[in-house]
Amino acid sequence: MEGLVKRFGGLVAVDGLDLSVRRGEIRGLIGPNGAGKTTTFNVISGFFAPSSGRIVYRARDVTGLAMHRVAAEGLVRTFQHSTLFLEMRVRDNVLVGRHLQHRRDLFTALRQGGAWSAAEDRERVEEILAFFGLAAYGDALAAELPYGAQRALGMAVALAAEPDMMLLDEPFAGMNPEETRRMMELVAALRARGITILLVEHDMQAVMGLCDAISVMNFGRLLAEGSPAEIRRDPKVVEAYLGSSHHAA
Amino acid sequence: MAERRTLGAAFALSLVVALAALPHLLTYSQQEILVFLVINVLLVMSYRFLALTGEWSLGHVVMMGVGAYASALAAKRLGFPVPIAMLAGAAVSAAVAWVLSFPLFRMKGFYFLIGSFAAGEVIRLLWKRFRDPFGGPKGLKRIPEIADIEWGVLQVDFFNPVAYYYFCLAVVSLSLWLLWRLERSSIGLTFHAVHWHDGLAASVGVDTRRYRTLALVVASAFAGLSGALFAHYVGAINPTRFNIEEMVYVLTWAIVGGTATFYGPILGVVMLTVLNEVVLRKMGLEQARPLVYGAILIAFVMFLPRGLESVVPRLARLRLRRPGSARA
Ligand SMILES: Nc1ncnc2c1ncn2[C@@H]1O[C@H](COP(=O)(O)OP(=O)(O)OP(=O)(O)O)[C@@H](O)[C@H]1O
Ligand SMILES: [Mg+2]
Repeated sequence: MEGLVKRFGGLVAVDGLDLSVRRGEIRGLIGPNGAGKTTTFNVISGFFAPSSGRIVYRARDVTGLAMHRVAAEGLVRTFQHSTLFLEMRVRDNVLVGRHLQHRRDLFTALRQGGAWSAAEDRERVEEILAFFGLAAYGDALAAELPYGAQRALGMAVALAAEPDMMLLDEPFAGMNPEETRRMMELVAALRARGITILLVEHDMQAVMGLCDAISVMNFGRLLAEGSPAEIRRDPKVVEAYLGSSHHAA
Repeated sequence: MAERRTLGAAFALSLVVALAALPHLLTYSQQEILVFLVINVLLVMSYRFLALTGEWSLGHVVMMGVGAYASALAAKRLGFPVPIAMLAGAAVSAAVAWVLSFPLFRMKGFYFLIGSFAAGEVIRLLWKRFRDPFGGPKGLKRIPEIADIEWGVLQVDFFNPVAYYYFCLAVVSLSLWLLWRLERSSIGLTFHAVHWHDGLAASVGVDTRRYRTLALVVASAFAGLSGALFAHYVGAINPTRFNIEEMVYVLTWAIVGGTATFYGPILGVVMLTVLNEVVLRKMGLEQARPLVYGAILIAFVMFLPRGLESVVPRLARLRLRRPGSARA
């Protein structure tokens, strides 16, 4: 990703960001509130077109592609706020995530009728539900799940798309320490399956514990980059966080 | 399980018998109403198919009209046999919907609603403006009916409402079966996903625009088919028949019945037709139909927003709880 810029009217939310993520790593993307992290995700995933700059994924230029085309490239994001098909069953939520794994035209659909889901597909859905500890909830409506389980379901939907790279936007937000610990294990397990991860998160302990490398953003720009240990010691980073907490106070 | 099977089969069988016997219990004018009712079932069910994606259109009755005009012209001008003309009518409706999808699906929700209304009005204007071939404000007359069948002992005259009712029943049943299959397929699931959260759907690879278009095109095809069924029975159509007032009736059927279940809109259209034809007509209040429909619509939105269908499970539970009929 090179020289990425996203403006909203006069506001420059992302201002010439350069970022490159190595295949197979967990990269943290941190920064104070309003630094432009979610906006960066929105631009990478095709929710917004960038004002300028270029995004290259696996040697393919994906700049400005529509969201569903980016997903088809193997790059799938989750959302900062619980974003689910609330009125649908948990199992069906994950099944929608399998969208890219199907041939879908009218005639296949007519033939399939009610029994459309191939056995292997069903199996994979159950597997993913089990992976995220949601097996017991399969028939419940997504809206009925406790908060932690909703966060997990958001990731389950994304994983069902069989991505090569996941963009996780604050997966631990609002979780208690026990839930966070479990979710960290799951994220590590995802990487062990060969999925590259770009992680936005405010829980510093989680970020430091999980990430191979961390990029820090402030005011839409890259402030620092390095290993967790380097970042923890970096005076600019410390100042940015202190500075922003001064503003907040 | 087996018990449920037999119950289901028994229900289906009695439904078939009832539908087959129904016209013979009615007067001639009631038989005609029955024909329109069956056609309207297809219309409102095709409307529900579009609503699965969460979009509500105000142009659906105009799409019915597109099918009616196209089928009538194909039979009248091009000499197509009527059943073929009807299929052509459905195809033209689908094609027009596809073209309209380009401007319309730049919008969502309320803007789509207004856009679909505007698009419909443009089409109605074209019908009024071009006397050739659409016949202007007076519309098309002497639309051919289905050719009589005379195969030895089997003689069918489709001018007869009972014969036409059976024909419509067959066409509509087949159409509903197709819509049902589609809804239960992966496509139906994707429609729901697009409805409940199009951003999330797109994030896992759903081309939401494409699925909205698919719903609109399929819904319009079946609306067009219902229009064709109408045109070749009545024999005359005009732009007024497909105006916004008719659209409000369709909306009322859908809202009164509810759109969450497959049977909801059918409940709606049957109940309101019975109300309309039996109660209002008896009381000589037919003129007040728009007023009564409006009042019903408001009452349902306020007091039973999920429609008649939401009452059915409650009734079923009541029945189960009644001593004697309780099984478990
Ligand atoms: N759709 C939008 N329209 C206008 N401004 C926006 C929009 N989205 C974000 N912004 C602005 O862009 C800036 C960056 O926001 P962004 O959500 O990317 O921050 P963030 O780093 O994700 O913050 P947080 O840690 O609070 O989630 C903020 O000032 C925000 O108000
Ligand atoms: Mg954010």
